[in-house]
Amino acid sequence: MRLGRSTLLYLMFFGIVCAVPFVSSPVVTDVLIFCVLYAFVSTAWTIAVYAGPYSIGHAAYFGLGAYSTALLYTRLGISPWIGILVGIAISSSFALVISYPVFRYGIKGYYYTLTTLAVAEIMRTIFLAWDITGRAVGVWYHVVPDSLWDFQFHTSHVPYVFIGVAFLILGVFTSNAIKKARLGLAFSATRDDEDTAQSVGINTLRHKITAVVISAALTSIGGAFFAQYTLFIEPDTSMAMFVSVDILLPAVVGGVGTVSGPLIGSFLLTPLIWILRIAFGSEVLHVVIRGVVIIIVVLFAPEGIVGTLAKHSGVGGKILSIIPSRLSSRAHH
Amino acid sequence: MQLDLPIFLNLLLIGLFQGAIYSLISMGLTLIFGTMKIVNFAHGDFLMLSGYFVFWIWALFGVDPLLALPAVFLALFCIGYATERVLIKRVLGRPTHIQMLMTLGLSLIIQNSVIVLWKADPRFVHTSYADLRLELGAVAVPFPRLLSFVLAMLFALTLHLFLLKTTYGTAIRGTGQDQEAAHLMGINVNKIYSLSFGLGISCTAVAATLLSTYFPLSPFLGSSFMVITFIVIVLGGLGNYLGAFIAGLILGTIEIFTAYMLSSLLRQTIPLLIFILVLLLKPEGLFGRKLRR
Repeated sequence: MRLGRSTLLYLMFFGIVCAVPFVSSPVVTDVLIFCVLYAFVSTAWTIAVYAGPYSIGHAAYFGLGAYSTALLYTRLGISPWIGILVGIAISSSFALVISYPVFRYGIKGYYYTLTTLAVAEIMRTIFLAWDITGRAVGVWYHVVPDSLWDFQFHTSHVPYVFIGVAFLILGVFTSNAIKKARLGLAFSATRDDEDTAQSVGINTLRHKITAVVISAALTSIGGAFFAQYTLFIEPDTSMAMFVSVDILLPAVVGGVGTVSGPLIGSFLLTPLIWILRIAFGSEVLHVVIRGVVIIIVVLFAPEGIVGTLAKHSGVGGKILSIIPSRLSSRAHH
Repeated sequence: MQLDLPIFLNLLLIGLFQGAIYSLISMGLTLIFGTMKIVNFAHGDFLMLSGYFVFWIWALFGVDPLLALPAVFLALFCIGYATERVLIKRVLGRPTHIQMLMTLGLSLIIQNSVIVLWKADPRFVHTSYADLRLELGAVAVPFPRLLSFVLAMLFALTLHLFLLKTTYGTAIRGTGQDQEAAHLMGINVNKIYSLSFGLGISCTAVAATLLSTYFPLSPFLGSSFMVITFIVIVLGGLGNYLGAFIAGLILGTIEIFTAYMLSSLLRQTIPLLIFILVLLLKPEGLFGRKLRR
């Protein structure tokens, strides 16, 4: 395969992300880790949205990934890497079990949105009440020396950047492959006009479920990464509604339904919020700003940065040719 | 765990009292949906904001919450009216996710501004009748809750009569049924939208006032009521305010019985499960007419 210009740009971008920790302070590394994490989970979220309506319950899959990994590791000493695989299995089966009836019974619009919220809330309330999940106390890690097998790095956080970037590459690759393949066309046809899609022989039910299952699997990896980085999880920080909002926000700002949108959104928003948090010294003022950002995007750029730039050719078109919206879109020409 | 008659009656009453508050909040939310086809994710935060208005009027001027009600009602009506004019209006008729993001953003702003302004610690309004209990045979009822229940019923009735009998009420219902037809009948649809939003928001003012006589107030009040309110409006049939009224009472009762018989930690889990089942089996709500899927 010949490398397209977009592929090169993505590779350059990932290269820079990996190089930054070597020339900057540990604080910047930590911000970078969150940029990568939210870019990754937001990429995962946008895969579900290729085919279907918005979910505001992705915290459920995030939490399942975090808890599977954390519980297996802290209670049974099983390596987080195996925990991640278990988390993928659990969250994707869960997504399958939930989305089959939801899509089969044709739940859409606000009914769908409220269902995704309800599912995440059911999960959160059960985890808050269940002994096995540690109730409201959550799950605490024992700190061990740096080890890849234990997925814990303390002397330097840089390995988290590398692992995060590896996950992000997996996410971007999946997102791009789906968008480009016939599957992606079927997805967007399903989203744009389900009845017409059905009438031309697209199995819309299967496509919607596939999208959610893939999205859930990737989101759970993000949850596991979060658990291994913070070394402490509880239902209110890994499954609450604000987690779902954090997951969808980068994509919304960058451009839902694009490959590069979640990346651009996360690498703009995460540092911005971090700077605001330091500038105002308040724990919550940055959440107010987050609300303002959402409203500004809704009012002035409802298709996100990438979507809006793509719409306005000219200046925007020029900028867009620098910002790849599809990985190696020219590779086949 | 034992469930003899006095305990049963006690739970039933507390459940209905709790449910009446859900009914009030949900009637406002479903009224907004019925007219404007938008689910307001910031509804709970308006409830919380009203609660703070009540608290500050009480704390600064010593005015009893119930006497402050008209002022808070009016204030929230104006805030709701203005919010519709400035923000909500711009997303009406747009895709669901755009509307959702708008009200979600609004919710983040209101809730966290309150935390910044007035801190996150819980606040209490102390009224002279806070600790009164009424003995009704074997059942002892906390007076503030009983009073709230009675007033909630009265307000629900007033709202019902307003929507049924007055010109504005008819216009609101008409706009909900068919926006174009309402427009052709000479109804100023835009004004009706602002009015409905204001009215829906001021329902939370009533709920917050009643709630403040016995319930602690915090910036998270909205989030804790929001999920159950969503369940209520879907159960009642989106847009059906009478359905929401009854569903509120039912869910309040279910919640209290769950808390007593299973665990107070699961008090929201059971209503949520009922919600999913209703969505799958009868998405038009318990009292709605058949929906076209």
